[in-house]
Amino acid sequence: MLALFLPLFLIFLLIGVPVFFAMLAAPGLLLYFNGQERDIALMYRNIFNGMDNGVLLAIPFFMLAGELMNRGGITERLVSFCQAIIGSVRGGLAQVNILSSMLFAGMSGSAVADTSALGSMLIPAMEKEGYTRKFSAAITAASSVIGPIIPPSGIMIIYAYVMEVSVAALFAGGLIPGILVGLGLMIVTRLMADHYDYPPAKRVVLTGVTIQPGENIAARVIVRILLAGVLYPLVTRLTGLTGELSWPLVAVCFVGSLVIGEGIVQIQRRTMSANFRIVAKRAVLPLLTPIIILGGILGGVATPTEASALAVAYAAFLGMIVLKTLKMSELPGVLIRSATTSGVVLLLVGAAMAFKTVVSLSHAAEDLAVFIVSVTNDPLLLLFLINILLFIVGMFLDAGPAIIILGPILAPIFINMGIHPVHFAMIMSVNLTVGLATPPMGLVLFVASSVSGVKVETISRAILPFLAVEVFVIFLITYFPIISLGIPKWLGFVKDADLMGPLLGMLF
Amino acid sequence: MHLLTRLLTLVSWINEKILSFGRSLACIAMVLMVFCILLQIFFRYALNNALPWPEEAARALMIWMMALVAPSAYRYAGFVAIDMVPDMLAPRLRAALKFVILLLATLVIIIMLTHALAHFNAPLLFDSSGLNRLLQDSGINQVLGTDMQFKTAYVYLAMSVLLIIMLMVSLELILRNIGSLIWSEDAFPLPETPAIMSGS
Repeated sequence: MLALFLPLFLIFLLIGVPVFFAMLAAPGLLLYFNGQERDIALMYRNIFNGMDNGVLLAIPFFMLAGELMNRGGITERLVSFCQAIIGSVRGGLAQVNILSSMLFAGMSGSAVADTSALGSMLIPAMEKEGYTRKFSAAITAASSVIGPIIPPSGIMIIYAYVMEVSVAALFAGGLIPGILVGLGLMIVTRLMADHYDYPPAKRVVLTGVTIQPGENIAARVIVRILLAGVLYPLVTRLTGLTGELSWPLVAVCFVGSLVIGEGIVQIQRRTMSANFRIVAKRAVLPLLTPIIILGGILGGVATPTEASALAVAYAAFLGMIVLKTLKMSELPGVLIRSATTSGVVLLLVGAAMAFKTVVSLSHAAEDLAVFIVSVTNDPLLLLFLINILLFIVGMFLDAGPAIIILGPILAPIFINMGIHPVHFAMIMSVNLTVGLATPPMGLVLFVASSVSGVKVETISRAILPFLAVEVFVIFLITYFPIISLGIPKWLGFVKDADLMGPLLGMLF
Repeated sequence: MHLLTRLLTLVSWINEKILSFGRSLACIAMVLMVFCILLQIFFRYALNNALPWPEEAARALMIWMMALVAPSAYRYAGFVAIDMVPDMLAPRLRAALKFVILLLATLVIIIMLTHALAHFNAPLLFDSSGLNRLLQDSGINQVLGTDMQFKTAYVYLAMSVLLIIMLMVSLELILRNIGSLIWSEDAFPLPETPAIMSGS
């Protein structure tokens, strides 16, 4: 009887009841009619307890950091940097759009922030260059779904919390899938050059750009320190030093890495124009954000919450003090918008915890598992079917609420079948994120439409080739667990993972 | 219609004031949250002294922030919902469906509120250990000569505040809905989202 709350919940959702109320009303009504009124009190307590957790602080913080960077002129610097790197190939600005999305993804955890920040800047620029407006809007929307796949990611924090998986493992798992989506989009963009009749390639490094002396010095120092940091393990290995090193030895090795790094920088300088160097230096301080966030979390130095608070402080420092593009008068708006968006998400997470209680009380997940296994117990087919289901759900529902609703029901079924929790989390997150750009209810499509002035239906048609690539990547992630589990295993977040998966296991 | 319009104007005015005040407080809460966590990082890594209260304080502020802004999202249609079916219906039918949905939402809010008030009263006696250390360490009680204690109930109170404001918003939305059900949707338009929330 109690398991009927699931169909009732679906009916509520379909007729337009807000997700928050549907998640509470459907199980609540059935508990009431079942005479389990005491469990309604339990549901209420779980709403509150579900929200009262330190990990969730990262959600408002990452949203705030994204908003601050969006307003603080960081987008413009990133775009001109990407333009200097790959703007000169055919379809340059379209490629710039994708690369900017990938870099922006390392700073913000939301696809909508990505679309509105990059779209408002790149769509008019692309049109001026000779691209059609609908193509420009479609590529902006398609590439911005990388935002929540490459860490940091709002939806992965939600998933990790609701399903009790490590946030760091999910963040590490999202890196390769995000890069794959980006590369896939870049390849399709190049292949479609003749079909869409792109303007011819031309050199696009900005000229006459200046950099303040202080920022210039900071950028130089940071680049050299980071380069030395990358070279350091190589230097210690080449000199045959292993195990725990004494402080003087560490210092000597680091200075050696600095010297080698300086040599590389000096060789590089000769191949680059002065304008290119300035454009690249202007991108150094913004690009330090993903290094702070990811380095902090994946290096085990900071918790996701601490890393997100540091990202807020750094974004505010950049926008207000270094770049001086963020005005005090803009702050209340930035704060209110990120507070409102994250407030709604928090309330949904609370409702999800209450919903999860009833899922386990009613044994709905077990009943559904029995039903699914009675249809087929072939994991390959099941993974295929689940992807279709997630894709359809993603068409109608935002990624966050969809994860909150489906995670507690689906994840236990697949984990019992031997799919690794982090792998399943990736399948769900990437699939539902792509759903943000699918018609009829793709949030990113609506934002791209309002930024570009092109109708949602028109963008929906133009985006199809890009969606096809994204679907292909979803299946790659599904059938090759190494894509999502490789880095988490390498970093030690995942121990007992089968990197081969059922498909490769069957073939070899 | 005249009576309904006047009643709606009054409720709408009250809600606007409460929500706008709530949003301002939420802004402050957000800044304080960031400050708390930054302080925690500074004390832990720079001074090697993990403070017991910043995370607890940040969580309490987060819950209060949520309670103060969520009703704004509810009023300005910021709550996630699938609107495909309502959008396909004729205006009258849509208004009727929305009326039923609003009644259901209000029922949920009222039931939650009864639990929230009970939850608020029950643990009133418990002190919040981490936040009391803040009062103790900062010497506020000594300076003021008081004996203030943080109760966990102060955080639970946020839920009651959230639900009471949401009930007010529900009342406004129901009145508006009755108007569009009896007369027309154009005569009772949805409240316009404040510019500061939409980012324009």
